[in-house]
Amino acid sequence: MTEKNRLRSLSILLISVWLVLFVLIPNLMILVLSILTRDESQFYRWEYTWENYQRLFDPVYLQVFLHSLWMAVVTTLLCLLLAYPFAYFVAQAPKRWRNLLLLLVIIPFWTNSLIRTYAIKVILGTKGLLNTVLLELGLIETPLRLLYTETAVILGLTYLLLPFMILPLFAVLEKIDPNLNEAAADLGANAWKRFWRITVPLSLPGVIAGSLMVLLPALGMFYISDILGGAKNLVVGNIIKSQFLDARDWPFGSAASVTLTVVMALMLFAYYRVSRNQNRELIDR
Amino acid sequence: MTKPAEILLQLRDIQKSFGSRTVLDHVSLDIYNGEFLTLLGPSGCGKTTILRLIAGFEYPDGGEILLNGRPLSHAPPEQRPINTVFQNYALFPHMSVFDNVAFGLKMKRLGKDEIRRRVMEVLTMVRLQDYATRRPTQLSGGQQQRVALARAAVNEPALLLLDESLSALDFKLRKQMQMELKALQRRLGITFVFVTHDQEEALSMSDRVVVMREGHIEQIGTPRQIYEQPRTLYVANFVGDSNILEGRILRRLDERYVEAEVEGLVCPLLVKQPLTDGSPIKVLLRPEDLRVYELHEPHQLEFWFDGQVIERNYKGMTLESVIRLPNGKQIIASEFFDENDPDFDYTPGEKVRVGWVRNWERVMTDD
Repeated sequence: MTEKNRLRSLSILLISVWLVLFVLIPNLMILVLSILTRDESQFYRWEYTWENYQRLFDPVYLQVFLHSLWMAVVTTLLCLLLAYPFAYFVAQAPKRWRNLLLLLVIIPFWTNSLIRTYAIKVILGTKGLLNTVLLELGLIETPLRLLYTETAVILGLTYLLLPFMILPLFAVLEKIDPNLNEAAADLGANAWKRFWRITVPLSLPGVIAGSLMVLLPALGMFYISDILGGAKNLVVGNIIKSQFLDARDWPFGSAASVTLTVVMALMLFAYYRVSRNQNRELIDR
Repeated sequence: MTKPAEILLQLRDIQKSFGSRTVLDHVSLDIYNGEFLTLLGPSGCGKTTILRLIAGFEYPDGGEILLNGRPLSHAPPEQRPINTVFQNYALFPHMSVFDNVAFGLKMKRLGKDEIRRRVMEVLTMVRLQDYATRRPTQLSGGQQQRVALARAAVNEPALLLLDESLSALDFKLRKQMQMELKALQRRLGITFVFVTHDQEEALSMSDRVVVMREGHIEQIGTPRQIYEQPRTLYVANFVGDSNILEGRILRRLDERYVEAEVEGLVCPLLVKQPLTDGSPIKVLLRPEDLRVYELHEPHQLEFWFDGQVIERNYKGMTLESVIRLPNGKQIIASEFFDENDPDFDYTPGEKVRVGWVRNWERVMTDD
C-alpha cells in the first residue's frame, strides 16, 4: 500500500468513526428511545410502545405543528421575496463585485446567531431602538408591541435564514447564459416577459433548494421563538426541547424529533428526485 | 449575379468604443434587400460588434443605423424586425424545440393555430418536424443549429443575422450546413448578414463580402472581386493564400504596362495606376497563378525565375510546392494533377523554372 493510499484510508476511517459516533449512534438512540416508555425516575423504561407517536396526533401538538409550519412558510416566502432581487442583482453585477457582495451576506454568520437574536430583541422591545426612533420621529404615540408576537418570530427567522435562500438562488442565476436573455429580446420579449419566461423558470431549482434550506430549519429553531416569541408562538423545535428539558419525557421528545426528521427527509428526497430528473435531461444527448 | 438595388439597412458613420478601445471607427455600410452579405475578418476586428449594433444589443456611440430609411439606432432589440442566430445557438434549455421556435410568434400574440402551422412549416423546412417535442439538449450540434435557424426564420424578419453560426460544427457538417443555409436564404428571400472568420466560407456563400480590419472596412465586393482584385495587401493576405513579391518600377512601356524589377527579375507588369519610375511595388500572385516547369520541359513562359523546389505537399487534388527564388525568397505554387502525366511530382532540391501567366499578376503599392 502506498503512502497516499494509506492516508486516504486513514482519513476515510476517521470520518466514518466520527459520523458513527456523533451522527449514527445518537440518531439510533433517539429512534430506539422513541418507542420506549417514559419512567419518572430513570427517564425511560425498556417497554416497547407506539404511544409516543399516537400522542403526536393530539390536537394540542397538531396545532403547534400547523402554527409552526405556517410561520415557516411565511418565513420562506419572505426570504424568497427578499433574496431573489438581491441574488439577481449580485448575479448581474460585474464579476469583481460579486464576491464582495456575497461576503457581505456571509459576514453576519461570524457572530453567533444567539447573540444576533438577542440584538433583534433589543431592537424590537417596548423601549427598544425601533420604538424609540418611531416615537422621536412622531410617527407613533405609544410604543408598538412588537416583541413576543408571531411577527417577531417570523422576522427573526427571516433574518437568520435569509443567506440560505440567497446563496442557492445566486448559484443558479449566475449560471444562466446571458445569451438566452438576448435571444429572448431578439425574439420580441420585453424585460418583463424575459424575466418570467426565461429567468424564473431557469432559476426554479435554486428556488426549491433555497426554500428547503429555509423551511426545514425554520421548523426547528426553538431559541428564536424562545427569545422573540413568548409562550404562544412555538415551533416544532420547542416541543422537542421542552419534552427533553422541562417535561422530562424523553421518549415522547424522541418521537417528535424522529417525525420531524422523517418529514424533512421526505421533502429532501422529493427535491432530489426532481433535480435528478432535470439533470438527467441536461445530460441525455 | 445582378445586384439587388434596394437598400434595406444602412450603417452611417458608426463609431463604437468599449472603454478606451475603439471597436468601430467611422464605419459605413449599405446592406441590400435580399442579399447574402458576409462580414469577414479576424477576431477583434469589429464584425460581431456590427452585428450586435444591428440586432440592438449594443448602441452606437456615434452615427446612425437606418432600416428602410428610418432611424433604428436606439430601438431595443425586441422592437426590431431583425432576428439573430447566435454563435452558441442560445436555445432555451427549459423549452421543447416547438416552444423554442414558437417563442417569437407567441411574443407577437398570434393565434394558436397560426403559430402551430408556421412552426411546423419551418421545422419541416429544416427537416426537424419529428423532433418538435424534444428538448434542445437532446439534439446533436447540427440539429441545434437548425433549431436556432428555424427560431429566427419563423418570424420572417427583414434581416437575419448569423454570428459565426457554423464555427462550432465539424468540417463535414459545416460544409453541408453552408449549402443548406444558402438554399434556405434563396427560398425565404430574407436578407442574411453572416459573420465569420473563415474566408473560404465567406467566399462560397456570399453575394458580397465585407473584409474588416481593426474596426474599419478594408474592402467590400463580390467574392470574386475580393479574391481576384484585393484592394490592399491585408485583403490579399487574409483571403486565400498569396505570394507577395517585392519590386520596383523601372520605366513605363505604354498605357497599360510598365517594366519592373521583381525579386531580381526584370519583367513587364500590368499597371494601370499612375506610378512614377522607381516607386516600390508589391506583386500579388496566387499559388495557382504560378507555372512550374522542370528544366527539360517545353514551356510558354516569357520570363521566369530559376528556382529550386525545397518542399512539396500532396493536397489530394493539387500538388503544392515551396520554391526558393535565386535571391532566397520563398514562394508557394499550387498545380493540379494532370491525368496525362501520372508521375507528376518534384523531388526536393530539384531545379525548376517558375513564372506566371502574363497579366495574371496584381500590382499594389504599400498599404
